[in-house]
Amino acid sequence: MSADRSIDTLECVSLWGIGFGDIELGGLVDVLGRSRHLTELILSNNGIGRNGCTSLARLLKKNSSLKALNLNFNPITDECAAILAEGLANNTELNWLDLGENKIMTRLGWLSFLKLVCDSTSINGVLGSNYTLKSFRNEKTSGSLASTLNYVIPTLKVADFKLLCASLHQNQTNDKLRSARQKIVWSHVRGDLNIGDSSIPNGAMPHIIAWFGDDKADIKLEYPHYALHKEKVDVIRIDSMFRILRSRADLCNAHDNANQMKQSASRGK
Amino acid sequence: MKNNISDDEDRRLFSRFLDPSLINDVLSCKRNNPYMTYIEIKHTDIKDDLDSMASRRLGNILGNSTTLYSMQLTRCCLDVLELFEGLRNTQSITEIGLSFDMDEIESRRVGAIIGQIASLKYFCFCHCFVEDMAGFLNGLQHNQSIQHISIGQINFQAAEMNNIAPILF
Repeated sequence: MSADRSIDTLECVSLWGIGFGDIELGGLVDVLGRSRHLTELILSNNGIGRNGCTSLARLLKKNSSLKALNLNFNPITDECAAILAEGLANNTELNWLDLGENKIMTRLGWLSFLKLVCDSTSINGVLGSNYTLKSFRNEKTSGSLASTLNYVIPTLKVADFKLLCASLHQNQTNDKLRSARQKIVWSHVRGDLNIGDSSIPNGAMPHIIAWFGDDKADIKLEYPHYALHKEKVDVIRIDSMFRILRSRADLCNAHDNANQMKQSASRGK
Repeated sequence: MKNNISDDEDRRLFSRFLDPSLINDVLSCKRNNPYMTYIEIKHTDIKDDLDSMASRRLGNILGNSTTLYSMQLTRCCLDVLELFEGLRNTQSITEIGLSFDMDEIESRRVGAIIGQIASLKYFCFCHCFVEDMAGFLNGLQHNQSIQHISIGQINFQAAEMNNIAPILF
């Protein structure tokens, strides 16, 4: 029946306030997954929960053309958040995930998303994080990071909240290598990073110095709006230089790209 | 219906049904006023239910306008089939917003007409009851120019969503 309809012309589909509840959206997802130009899907206020999110995660795993997914006014639980975050783990398309007006999700749910955009547990974890998601609001409606934060603030601890915001902000640069370096340094500052045990290859030191040691380097140890004392910054910088690069000297290669990082991360795993 | 109808005749035809300000807007569309790119027809602009003839004439005027690109119909009391028959051949309208109830026959036929409007890029359908949503979407699916579909607060069986999706796309 749909043979007559060119799904390729569709760029935005909005099905809002229909209240179809927490049903499986397999049919919808199958059809949308075939569309090459669909960039925005709005499913506000429909009672979507675990079943719906499971279907949507399947769509996100397909890495469809979708750039914005709006799920505001839906009962998104912590479990739903974990499902969506898993769906986004290897997604390199979705920039905006709107989860506004949702009073159910707690700290655990947001931690799933924090781990998605900055998995601080190891360098490979950070490298394998999502570098595409930019905001938890839709750019077209209220894209500023500040508006995202209004509904995240009450649930997360300050340090987690800052890392989440900083990571989303960093993703907006579209420079994945730089973002990876930045997230690694932040994770290290938090004390989360498990550096592992390895040695620095010969010839890596000039790159290490160029990356961390130079005051002109654009890698920041502070989160935005979160200044550290200079003495502490210096100590952390030197410590970071040694410990992080001891683990992953290949990060100093300026010609690295995101694919190499991903491959490298998956090898590490 | 003859094409060369004077403004006075149109004004006489519509005066029974429409507010004067809306009549002026409609006639601006007829004259292809470059500033008349959007028109909204809502129930508060209608004094009395438009009969078939007035509805068809209204559709013809809007459908023949070369400057009108966006129209919104909100809970209007008119003959929706005749209106859309008049609109069928529009080449300039790219945005249509609908918000009124439709019975089974209207759902199917209006959907089929919208499915043939080749200039349409944005279609919004909300806040109403549709007796045959699948029938409406069946017609709509033939449209190959729509880029943005927005459907909201429509009263139909939610469980049908998965059945409706393949029709819609």
